[in-house]
Amino acid sequence: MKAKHTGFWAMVLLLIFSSLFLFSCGKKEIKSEETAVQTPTTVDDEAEKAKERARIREKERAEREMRERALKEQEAQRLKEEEARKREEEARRVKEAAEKARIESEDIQFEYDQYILSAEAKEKLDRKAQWLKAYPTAKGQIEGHCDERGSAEYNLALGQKRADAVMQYLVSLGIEANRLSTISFGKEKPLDPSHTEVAWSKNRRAHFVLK
Amino acid sequence: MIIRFTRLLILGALLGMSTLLPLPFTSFLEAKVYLDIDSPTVKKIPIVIPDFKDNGAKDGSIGNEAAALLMHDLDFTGYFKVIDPRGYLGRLEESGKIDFSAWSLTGAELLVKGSYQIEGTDLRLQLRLFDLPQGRQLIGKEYLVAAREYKRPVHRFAEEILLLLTGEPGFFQTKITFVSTGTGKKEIYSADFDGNNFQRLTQHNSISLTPRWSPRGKEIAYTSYKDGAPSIYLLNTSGLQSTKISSRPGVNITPAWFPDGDSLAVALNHQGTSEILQINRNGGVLRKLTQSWGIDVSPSWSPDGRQMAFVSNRSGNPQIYILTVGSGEIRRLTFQGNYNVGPVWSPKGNLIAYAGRIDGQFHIFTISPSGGDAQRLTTSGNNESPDFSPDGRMIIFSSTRQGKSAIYTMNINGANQRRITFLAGEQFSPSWGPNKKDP
Repeated sequence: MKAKHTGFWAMVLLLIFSSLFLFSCGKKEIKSEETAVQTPTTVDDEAEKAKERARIREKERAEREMRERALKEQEAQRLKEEEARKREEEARRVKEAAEKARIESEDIQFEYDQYILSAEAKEKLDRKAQWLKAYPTAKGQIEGHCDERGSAEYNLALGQKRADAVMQYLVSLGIEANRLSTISFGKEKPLDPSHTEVAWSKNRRAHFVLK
Repeated sequence: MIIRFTRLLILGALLGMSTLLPLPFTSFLEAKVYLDIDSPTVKKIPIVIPDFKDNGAKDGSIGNEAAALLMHDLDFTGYFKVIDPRGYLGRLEESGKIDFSAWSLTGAELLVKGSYQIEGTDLRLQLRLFDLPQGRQLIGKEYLVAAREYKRPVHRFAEEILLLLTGEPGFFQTKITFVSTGTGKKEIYSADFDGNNFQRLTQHNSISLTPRWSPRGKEIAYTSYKDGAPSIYLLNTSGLQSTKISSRPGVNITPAWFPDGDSLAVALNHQGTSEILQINRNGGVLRKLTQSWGIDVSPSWSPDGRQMAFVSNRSGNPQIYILTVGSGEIRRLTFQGNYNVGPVWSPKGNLIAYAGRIDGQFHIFTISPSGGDAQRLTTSGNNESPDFSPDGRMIIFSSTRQGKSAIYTMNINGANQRRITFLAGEQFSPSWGPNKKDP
């Protein structure tokens, strides 16, 4: 009766463990189950088996921990890489936007009643040309503006002359003419509406709008 | 209204004839030159205009307003000194009897007497002009109009007076057009010759510039950014529809009507080339007038259409040039100063007005089309965009002399300068419309 009971509990334990092994390991556990089933059940065996089971459990736990640690490390690495990529991308985006903003904001200045490009104007346009070459799908409109001192009518023509001069220079640097357009606003849209030399010199300009 | 106006004309003509001068017109002019308007210092004629008398002895307000309007019209020309009728100390006059010597004591040389009757909703108005020193009637007219249109016969009588004294009917029924920023955007406006009855004609919410009234008075040519790039539009002044007629690449600016009103000169500027083209009312090119690698802009035709003044920087800075269309010959007109722009040819053909810059400020000048004899007409502020009245006796222009830019008028000798717009925002670039042709 006792032996029968013991045998029964042993079987139950075995089943529990074997099912545990089945879930966690592969063939090896199936083999140990067979062993367990075929091995005669004695007290010594039971102790040995308990030891063995504890050992296996320990090994399993260690393996599991190792796997988990590896997974965590992997995940951390992945996150780190992703973050770096994002940072890089953001930096590139910011840089591109800054470049584009600079290309747009860096106006070409002109002398009073003139539409000749100065050396400084050409330097700025060289940078714009480089940018336009780096972004071959970008298109630009060149706005010609004047200060308030001339007549409205004459300034409409003068503004066009300024925009034309800028466009011709960019085309001479190899920018396709069909990527550029011009418009004159004469003295109708001053950047600085005050009536000072500083304002006038700001307002005599060719301005870029990129599309 | 058209029927009413025709009726006014016929009545005016018939009754005017029946009360014409006792002497033939020519001998009257030989007897006395009233106005030597070409003299540099015109002596103003003193005129007195008492309130018009209501023969029905009812409400006299129309009579007062009509008399005040006639005084306003005549005063506007700068040829008259309007005398206060309260200076008359003579007896109360019976109908038809005038105490010439008592009126002469006011200092006046001319007297206008008016009387009227209200007939239902109509107004019957009799107006007479008298020469006080000679004690005789110079003009007599009777008009019949709807009472609410009482201003028309008054303007017409002012035209009669001007015609008699100067040989030209004046401009008392003309309109002007200009740019105003009253809405915050540059829109095209119109007003009566004196700045009254202003009206916004466009609602483009854009930049609209340089309106030019057509010689026939039914259209205004102008430049607008309303569709993006500056293009030339025609605005029908009765229906206010806008039609785009020139939107070639680059700028399409400064339209100038050919004298017949069938075509315009416009300035184009694109890819380094500047051209003034003559285009028809649909925008089709009739001929190329000028071409340069610099700037050619702001054309204005001589009244016979054989010559065209324009601005060019071909000598290095903006100066006025004259093209003889037949020969293609171009000569420089202005040599004083380094910024002369906005030429406009007088309808009489003998003067060109323009804006020239001196010490950083623009002033209005006139010069003879042969060159020489440039006269500066303004003294303070920026004065720009001159245009002549249809009789060639006055110039309309913009000025900043009182701060913000507003529209002003003056006589062609620079006398009689007055501000005529008192609107919100700034006003620029005026153009004086033609006298309406009688139907």
